[in-house]
Amino acid sequence: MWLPLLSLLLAQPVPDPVRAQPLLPPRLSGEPAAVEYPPGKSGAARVVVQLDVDEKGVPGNLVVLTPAQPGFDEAALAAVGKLRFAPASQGGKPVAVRIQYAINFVPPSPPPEEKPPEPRQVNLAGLVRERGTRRKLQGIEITAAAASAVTAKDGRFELRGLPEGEPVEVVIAAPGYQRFSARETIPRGEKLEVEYRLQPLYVSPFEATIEGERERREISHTVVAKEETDKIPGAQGDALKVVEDLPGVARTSPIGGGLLVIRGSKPGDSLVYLDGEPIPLLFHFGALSSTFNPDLLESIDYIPGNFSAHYGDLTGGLVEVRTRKLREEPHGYANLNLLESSALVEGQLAPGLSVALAGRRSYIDYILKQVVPKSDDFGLTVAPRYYDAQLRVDYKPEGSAHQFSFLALTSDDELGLVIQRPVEQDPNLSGSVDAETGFQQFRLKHEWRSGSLSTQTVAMFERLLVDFVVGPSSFHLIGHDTFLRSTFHDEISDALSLAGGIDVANRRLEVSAVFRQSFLFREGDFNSQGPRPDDPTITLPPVLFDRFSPGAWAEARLRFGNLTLTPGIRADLYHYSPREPNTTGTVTPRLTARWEATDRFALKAGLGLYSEGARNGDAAQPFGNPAILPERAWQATLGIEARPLSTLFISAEGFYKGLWDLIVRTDALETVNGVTRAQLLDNAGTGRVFGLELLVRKELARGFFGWLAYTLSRSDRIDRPGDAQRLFDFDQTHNLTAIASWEFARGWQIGGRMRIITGNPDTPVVGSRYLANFDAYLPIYGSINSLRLPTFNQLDVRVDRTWTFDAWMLDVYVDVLNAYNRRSIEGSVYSYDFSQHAYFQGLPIIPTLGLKGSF
Amino acid sequence: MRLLLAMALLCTACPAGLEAQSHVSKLRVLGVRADPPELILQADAGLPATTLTALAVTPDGEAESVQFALCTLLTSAPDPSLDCPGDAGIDLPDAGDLAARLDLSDPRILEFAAAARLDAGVFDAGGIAEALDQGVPLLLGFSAAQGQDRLNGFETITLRSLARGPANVNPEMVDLLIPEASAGQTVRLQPVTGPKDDPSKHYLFSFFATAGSISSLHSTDTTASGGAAPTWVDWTAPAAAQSVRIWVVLRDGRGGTAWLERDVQVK
Repeated sequence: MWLPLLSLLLAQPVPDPVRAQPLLPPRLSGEPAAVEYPPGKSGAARVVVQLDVDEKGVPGNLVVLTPAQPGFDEAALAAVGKLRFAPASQGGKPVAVRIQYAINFVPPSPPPEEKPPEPRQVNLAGLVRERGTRRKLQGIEITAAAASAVTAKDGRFELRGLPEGEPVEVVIAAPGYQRFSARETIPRGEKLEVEYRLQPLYVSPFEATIEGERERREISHTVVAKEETDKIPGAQGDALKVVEDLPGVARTSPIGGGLLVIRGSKPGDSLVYLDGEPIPLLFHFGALSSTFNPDLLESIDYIPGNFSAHYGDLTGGLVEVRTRKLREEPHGYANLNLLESSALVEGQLAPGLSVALAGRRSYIDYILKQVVPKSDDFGLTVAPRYYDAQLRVDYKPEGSAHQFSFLALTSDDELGLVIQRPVEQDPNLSGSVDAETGFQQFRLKHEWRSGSLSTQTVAMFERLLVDFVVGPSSFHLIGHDTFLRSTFHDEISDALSLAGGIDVANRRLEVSAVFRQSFLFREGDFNSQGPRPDDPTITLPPVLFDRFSPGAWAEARLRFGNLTLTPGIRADLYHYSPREPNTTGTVTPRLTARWEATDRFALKAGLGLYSEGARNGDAAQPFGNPAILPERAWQATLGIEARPLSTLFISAEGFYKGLWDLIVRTDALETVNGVTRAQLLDNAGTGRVFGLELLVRKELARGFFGWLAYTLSRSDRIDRPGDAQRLFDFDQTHNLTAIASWEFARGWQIGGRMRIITGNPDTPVVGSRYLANFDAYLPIYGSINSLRLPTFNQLDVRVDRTWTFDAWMLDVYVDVLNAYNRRSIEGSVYSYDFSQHAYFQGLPIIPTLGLKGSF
Repeated sequence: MRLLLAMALLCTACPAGLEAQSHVSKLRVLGVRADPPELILQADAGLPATTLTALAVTPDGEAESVQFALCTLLTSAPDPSLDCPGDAGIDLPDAGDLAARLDLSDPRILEFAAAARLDAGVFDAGGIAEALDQGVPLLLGFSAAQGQDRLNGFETITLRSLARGPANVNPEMVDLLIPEASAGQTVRLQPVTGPKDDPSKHYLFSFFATAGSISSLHSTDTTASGGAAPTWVDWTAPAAAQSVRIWVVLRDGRGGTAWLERDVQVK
């Protein structure tokens, strides 16, 4: 509050020349009126007001004499008008006079500061962690003796002014955790440091994936979190095997894993990426454990089609596996089951520097050596064994916008047999059967973010080994590949973001082989009865193959209210060398649209062109044709998404793919440099795929998750112009998968997976011809894929029991494949002359017992 | 390749009930022998010829007939539906029971040879010399008959010059050692061969029986990887006493073939 300082200046009375008697001036009666300093004004001011004081002492005819001072003049006039005087007098009689009255305005001085109350001392502080995982918990409220605090990001809290010297009850009642209470006695004058561990109501040994919904760039995009993949029945905790349970993915292996077939595209048209770069070999021995430790994964992004310009050299779909950030706190696990053991340790070595080391090795080889009886027909020289290991180092300098990550992977599978007696179907096949496949990758990643702009660059070197010896046939491949991918992303505004980048892959392969042409399976051959024994043998001395495939892309995201349009364009070059160099290029535009009709309902559509350069030797003699062109596809998708509840997601999509320039076998001859030779392959094939996919997904919450995935589709091909249309090798008209997993009591989780899938196409054998030189029979096939195997159905069940201790957790699980022991039909087999037919049955009930400790 | 390995490893699921190739229960052709096993072109000799004989059997005896033809398509990997014998073949004259004569001086064959092309088209009549040095596979088709039953097959015989080495000769099957067997008993079948004219040859044995079961259809003295292997197989006699016919067919990997037949009385 301010107190104005008034000075009253009594004006001199105006002399009256008529009266000679002395004039007595008027006098203020009462207190002078309070004058308010005008609001909104500043600084000092002096206003002089002329006024007439009548015989009663009431002022009138107020006139401001000083220059105009808006605000101040009004306040002064208002105040002076309220003054009252004892009137002037002359000769004892009251007379009217004219006087001047000055008011001085002084700016108000700032109010004196209120002194804060003396703070109470922190006398109880500490850390709140989750029991079992030792994860520091943020946002947890702690109350004690009418005081409360909330844990910060590092899990710490402080309470002040608690009573000392007597027990105080500390209570934590946090959602998702059991109520916690403790009685603490704080010594007088001291601070008590504590650490509390809360028991989660639903046990999850991994960090929560509550990062908010990742921005949707792709039209069809399903994210499966790590906590879910760990507990899905039948997948043995393997994240990559879970992909098979998503809509649009065909079942290709009796034990999971196997070939990746997405939306009716052949294996090889769909790839698995690990943080943006491909993994060459997904599973050990093609279908057992995946080659990358699942504990280092955060999530799997499944993109079945109409993917953005970010990805190229691909016409099918893709799976993007994302690794998680390394933890600062020490963490690890050890896992044992019937097939293998694995372990991981990680932690922070220095501020900003974290390291993780993981490894896995099978021990089925030790078991087989003891169990498999010695036989005159067959011997194990190298019992099947596999291993893989990963080393990851993350470095983020304090306060820096740069982040670095180094990842080294290795994987190796080996198997050796000796077949003493030639195989019936192929008498050439005897002797050694040795197989070794493996790869090593070294990746260096740099990320930088500044404001709206972010960049990411990955450089990778890969060594690939594929080595087969099967009797007289052999195949040796060593690859030294380099990859570079650099992307930028700029969120220019809410309405516009741009992205773009380059990716370059150079694959340098040294190959030697002794093989028969019919060993080279292509799509359309999968359901045949194996290679023919009378094929001539081709010997390929060591030769170098180079495949150089750079790509560049750009994409914009335009938001018009609830409508988001994402146009993109990509250019790819495919260059093969050094023998008969060949270069082709493609430009593939793409467009996706998404309309968020409400915050719970969206429509989506996509249209795009795609290309895929020849792979696997298709562009090189003697395996293929150096003049081969890339395969092409156009894809269209239309669908809806709904999220009626925060954890319930529904998606329905229709899709269509047109395929052309497909690489197929040809009998044609060509003359190159004066030499006539078989062309082997050309681009005469066409195909189409269309269907509907439905996904109803309950995301992990309160210990329950699950999904229902259904696909209705058809995929067919025309191998050569004029040929009849035929089904794709893995065409599965109906594919229904239902998964549910529920933690029904503390530490107990049970889950089931039910699958009902149309049987795969089958190619019938309608006759045979005896080959006297080989004592074997050659099948005469009916129309390719003109029959179907019986429908597949299977139930898998998994039960987990988890014990949570203060600093670690123990999980014991039983994963039962084929719980009701139905021997599914996996293919056709025939008698030696193909006169009798029977079905090849899959595996019986297989229980797997496992033990996993983690800290 | 992946499929083979997978099937081999998962063969716990192989269906039972499919007849084994070693079991002879119907019309079968177990081998074809050519005497001589190769057709050698020599400057001072006439056009070569060979006699083809089929081991065409039934559980009760021999097949009624076997028709041979020279296929008019030169390939070592024919389409199994090739009509040969038939429109795509030159029928060969009989040369005795279950035998035929392939004589390159046959005018029909000469006419065919003049216009011959290999399936891959890399060979033409003008450039025959180099191909003959390597060896040209002549495709023969045959059809065995027993009543209404038919069995069709292919055999290839090499036509070549001596640039690659001397002419091959058929191997010699000396004996098949079969111990006495009681019903249900397992005994060892041991083939005995004469000395090899070329030690580098790898012998492939095939075993057949009209009853009982044989542990392996094939055996070899040297695996494809060059390792030594046992040539014997085990035969489990049928559960009831009976007469059983057993064959062993020997192939030397270069077109040479030999066989033996034995009758065994199971007690």
